[in-house]
Amino acid sequence: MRCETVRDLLPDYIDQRYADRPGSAEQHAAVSAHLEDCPECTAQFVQLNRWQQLAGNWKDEPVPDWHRPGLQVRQPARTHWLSFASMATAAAALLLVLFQVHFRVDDQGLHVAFGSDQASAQLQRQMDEFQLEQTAYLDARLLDLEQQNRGLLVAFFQSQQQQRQQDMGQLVNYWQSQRIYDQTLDQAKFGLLADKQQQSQRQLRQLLNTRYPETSTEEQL
Amino acid sequence: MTGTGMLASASDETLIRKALRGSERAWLKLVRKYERRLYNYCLRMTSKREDALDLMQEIFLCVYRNLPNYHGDGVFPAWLFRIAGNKVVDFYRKRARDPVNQASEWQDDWQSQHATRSDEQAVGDNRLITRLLECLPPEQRLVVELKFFQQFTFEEIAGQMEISANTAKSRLYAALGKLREHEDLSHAM
Repeated sequence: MRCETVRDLLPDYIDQRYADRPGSAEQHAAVSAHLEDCPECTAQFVQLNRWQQLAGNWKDEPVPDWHRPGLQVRQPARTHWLSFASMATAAAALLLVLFQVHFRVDDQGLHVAFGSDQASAQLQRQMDEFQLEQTAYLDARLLDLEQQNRGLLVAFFQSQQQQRQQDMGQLVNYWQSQRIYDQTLDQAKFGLLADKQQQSQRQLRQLLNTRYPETSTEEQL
Repeated sequence: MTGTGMLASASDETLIRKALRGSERAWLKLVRKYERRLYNYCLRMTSKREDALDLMQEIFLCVYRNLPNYHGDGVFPAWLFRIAGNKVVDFYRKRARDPVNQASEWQDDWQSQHATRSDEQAVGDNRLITRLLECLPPEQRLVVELKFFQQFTFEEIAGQMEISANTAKSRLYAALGKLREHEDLSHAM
């Protein structure tokens, strides 16, 4: 017998599971004979046996207190009479709707009518009136909104115009003040230039007087 | 068929049928019947009591939500442990994203509460098993758990984990090899 076959059979060999199968005695004997000659398979057999024994030595630990999921078990189904009553009520209501049963109480007593055309016509009239009212209301609301929008638009344009005017005024003021400042600055510069020219003429005259004292001033110049 | 006999399975079916009709008592009976087995399964899978309890709660909630989908076409424990396996995979994914919680936290307070010699021996075995299982990757750990502790056949394990029976066997032998290496290393140290 080959090692692979023996190793396939070893767990059952230990458990003696195949004891009832036909030919099991021969198989058992063949495995035993193989084990006597094959140290590898014997080692496997010993290890299997050891774990079989170890498993038998395991002592079950007690389960600690724990919350068993008992409360989550589905509730019992409802009793038939209740579901029957519910179904009967629903069916009756459905029939009342389907056959358009109409109850009316007046001075002459209780009236029961099936399939009332008057009621549907009245309902239609009321629906038409309601539709007209709603349409008028919506139109009025739309008009209001349009007027409000128009007013808002006019106010917006006016404010824009005022803003532009203010901006233009500020620009003109700035330009004028800058112009005055520039003119003042130019006058000051011209004055300074004229003073320097006069001073130069005086210095020139003094120099001529020094060089040519006989000539008159007009001649010198 | 696994360790659970036909009578127990029939009883499960009855309890589930009654629970689905709204019997809280039947549901709680079903929970109480499997909570110890499932809690210890979670303990071996998570190595932490707190995580084991949280995981068990999640599994039972998931079982409750999916109970209408259980058609009684298989054995209830197999169906229960298929859900548990999925939740364990989710748990490992979550823990992988949160490395702070990866460390084992095998508490010794239990030992002090149960002072008899046999209890001490059992605690030692439990600790040893948990410590060894920790060295396995999740899919191998799950196969070891289902094979040795839950006593499922390879065909049942394959069905639960949606793999072939041969893959389940390969994973078991790979796990055993890794466990042997780990034990040898522990002894050498």
